[in-house]
Amino acid sequence: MRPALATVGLALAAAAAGCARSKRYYSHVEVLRVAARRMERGTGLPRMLDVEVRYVDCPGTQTEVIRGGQDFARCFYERNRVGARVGVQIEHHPTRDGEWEWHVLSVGGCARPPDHNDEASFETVQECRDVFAYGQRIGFRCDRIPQRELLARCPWFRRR
Amino acid sequence: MKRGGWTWRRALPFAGWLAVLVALAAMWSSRNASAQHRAGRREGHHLRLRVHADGGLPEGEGEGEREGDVDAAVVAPANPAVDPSDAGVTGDGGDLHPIDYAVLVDGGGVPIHTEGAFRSPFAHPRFGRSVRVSVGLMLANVRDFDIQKGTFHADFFLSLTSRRPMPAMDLLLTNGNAEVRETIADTPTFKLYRFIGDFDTDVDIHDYPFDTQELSIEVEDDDNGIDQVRLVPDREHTALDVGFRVPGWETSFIEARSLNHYYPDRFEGDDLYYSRYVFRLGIRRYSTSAVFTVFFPAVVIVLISFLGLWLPREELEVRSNSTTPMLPAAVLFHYALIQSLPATGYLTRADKLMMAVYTCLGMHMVISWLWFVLPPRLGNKVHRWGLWIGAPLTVVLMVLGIRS
Repeated sequence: MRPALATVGLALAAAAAGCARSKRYYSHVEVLRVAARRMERGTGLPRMLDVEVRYVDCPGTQTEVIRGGQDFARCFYERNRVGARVGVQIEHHPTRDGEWEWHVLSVGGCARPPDHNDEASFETVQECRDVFAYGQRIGFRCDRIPQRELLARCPWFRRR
Repeated sequence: MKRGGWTWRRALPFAGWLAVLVALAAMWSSRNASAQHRAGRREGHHLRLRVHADGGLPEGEGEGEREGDVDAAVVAPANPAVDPSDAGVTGDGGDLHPIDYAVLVDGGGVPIHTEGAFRSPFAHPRFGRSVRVSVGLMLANVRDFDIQKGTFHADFFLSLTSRRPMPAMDLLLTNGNAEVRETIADTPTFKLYRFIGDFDTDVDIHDYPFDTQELSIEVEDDDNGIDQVRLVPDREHTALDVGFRVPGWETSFIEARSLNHYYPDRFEGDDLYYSRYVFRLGIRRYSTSAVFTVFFPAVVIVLISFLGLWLPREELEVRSNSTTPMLPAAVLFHYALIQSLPATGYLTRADKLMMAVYTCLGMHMVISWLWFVLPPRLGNKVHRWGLWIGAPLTVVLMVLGIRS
């Protein structure tokens, strides 16, 4: 009896550990905006770069502003331009409070190690639709909690 | 011939002076018209309505001056190059308040407009096509959401953008009061404001503790009806600030709508619609918190009583102690829950769950009391049937209560 219980316990623990493991994803984004922050004197190259991207493979309007340091800034500044469609590597991992978050590890072939002090990067995950009354468009509504279709195609947007 | 030439030479200076006098008179008249218009804007619609409906004029306005306004605005537009349909937009028709050229049909009562789509004295048929104004809203902060009072404190930026110049606008927060109202930009085609204030909102707790609340911010132009201004939600510029959070809630959705607000007739001919912009922030209570603060305690209360069903008559004291104290515990727990909620005319989901809890506890107590009511020889049957009927019924009732 005891070995059986222990086996079940171990299996449950392993399953729980497996569920909460971080995972990496690869997707595509369109570069919407590139803004250099803090230029280096002499070379004129950015020391910090904000890149606003839109996830083109995901339904809805999913945009993210990604800030990167000097190496990322120089690499991205030289290789990519606004309007380009580039690859992006994402890490989806659990947080201490039981929720989930993601970090962009590279964009457009440029590595971007996340800095935990970064408060400038942010994302807007929403799916918008028009609101009609009696056939007339009267406004819009954007859902901020990811729906099933979005999570099926872009699972890193899951927060719970 | 010689005499005729002398006449022309004498007449020319007179003609010149006459022209200068006419120009000065026109300038003086135009300045008065602008001053009166500005004063009228400050007074607001309702004051104007009251004064004019009485058949008199606001203090400081003379009959002749008012007529001068009409002449100056209609006969001599300030900018002749502008399309007459946009006259009000560019300031000439705008100098003339709509009520100033409304007419009294029966010689008294409410002045109305006989031209244009609306009869209301506040309609502006000479304004031309209404201006389509895109409204963007960036919500920076929401705090102090009080679900019992249905109030919250919000800090937001509001942008108004149009292709054609907007008329002078007086934005009104119809469901709140602005403590801070800062005008950051004010150009004819672009305006940016910052508002900080307290707002009221409707609260719907049918689904409590899994409820979603909608926090509304409503904006209306107090000065102009839909014949002048149409507010249209701007999706591209409606957003939440970076790191936006409402403590205890998760952001569910944002929504913006425009509606044509119609006031029930405040006076005769009050048929003008006003464009109203409504922004809604949907916030959802964290479900984990809801389960642990409402459902879990309720289930534990029933579970303790439920386990007592297995105790035989010999353990009646223990059995009673597992059931009876649970009832006051449930009442106190329910009381604590509803303390934080407003009074409603309906049952919330938590209320329905508590109804199931009360029913289960009542049933368990009745089963125990049967031992005292029925003859002792039926003691075993009461225990057996109480278990076989009471236990599944408890499970069914609780499932119904949780799923309700």
